[in-house]
Amino acid sequence: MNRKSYYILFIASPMLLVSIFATGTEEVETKPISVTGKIHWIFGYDQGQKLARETGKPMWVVFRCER
Amino acid sequence: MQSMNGVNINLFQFERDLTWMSFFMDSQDRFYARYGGREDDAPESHLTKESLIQTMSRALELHRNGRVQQSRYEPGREPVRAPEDIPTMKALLAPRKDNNCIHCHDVKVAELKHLQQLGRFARDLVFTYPAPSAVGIRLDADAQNNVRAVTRNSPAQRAGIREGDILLSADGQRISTFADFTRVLELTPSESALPLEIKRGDQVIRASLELAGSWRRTSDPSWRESLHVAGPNAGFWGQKLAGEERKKLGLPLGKMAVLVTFIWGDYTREAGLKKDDVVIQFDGLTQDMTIPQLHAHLNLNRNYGDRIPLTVRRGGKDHELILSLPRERPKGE
Repeated sequence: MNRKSYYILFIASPMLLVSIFATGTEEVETKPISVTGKIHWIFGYDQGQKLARETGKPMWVVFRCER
Repeated sequence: MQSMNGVNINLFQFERDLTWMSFFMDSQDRFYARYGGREDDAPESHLTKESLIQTMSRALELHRNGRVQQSRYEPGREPVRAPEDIPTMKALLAPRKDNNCIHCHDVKVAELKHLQQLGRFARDLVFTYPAPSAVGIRLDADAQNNVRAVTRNSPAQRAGIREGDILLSADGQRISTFADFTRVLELTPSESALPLEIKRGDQVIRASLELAGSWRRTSDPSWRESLHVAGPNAGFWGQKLAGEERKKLGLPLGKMAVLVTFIWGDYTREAGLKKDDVVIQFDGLTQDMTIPQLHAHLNLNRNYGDRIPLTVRRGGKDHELILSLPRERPKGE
């Protein structure tokens, strides 16, 4: 897998918030929160997938072709 | 520079003519939502900050509840297929200095060229991932499953869809975004009835889009990089003249005025076209067009060997020219 093929962003901060406040409730509204820190992108799907398995978080996989 | 090298194109299926696309997924190659895509009229028609925030929130909610997409529209990881596996890819990349970098549109171009080699190419194949407007639905840019407008005499209007409706699903596939809907349209046969589930006020109602003919063909596909595979080009590049420049040349607004900036076709030079000519009529067309639109016209409507009449303004006078297109596709195109 080419490491430059993907940007993968784990929606770390909001996901953590959801994990804490959503426990035991089905209909908790998920509101976005500001991301003030540096976004941690991962360049490689397999690597991102491994981290998603370990953390239980979803992935945002971005393809950006520059001509 | 990003690349498609080594990407599993069976898992990541999307409109390759786009320059940006994204997916919300779990760790097992399953999808929550797709985010990206465009209408013909604007590259960022459905890329807004608000829609991204809404889609992220939705993806988090779906993830929390384990609601991955489950329908026939969802691809699997197997069999793994990379762009390098497309038989025509090697030849496509060979002339390039950076020949190991595969762009998104290269994947589509290589696949279309492969179909040409197999004798199975048709021009309609360029129109992949049709936007919702192809069936008469304009989706909101921010709340992307909300119907902002319905086109008159379209399949959507005939199905009874109204402005303000919320698309819940199409043929069982959950619709959260513009891209979710284009995914369904991509796999919808040309002649078919596409069942929709719609929320209108407090009610959930069902409708059916009756599709037939060339509904996938949208009005201005000139943004599609892969279009050049479909047919001949004019052998020159240029730019649409701005208002002030037209005034100087005595050319009206709203009519064709394309300044020739670069010529690569020997057949174009042989026709007598010169740099700095202004094309004011092309193959019978006089409406205001961009150079990609002019090429798109040839790509989709003319064949190799055709003769194309054009009029250029040069030195204050109009000149009639005939562009004899090459009899076959030039090598390397």
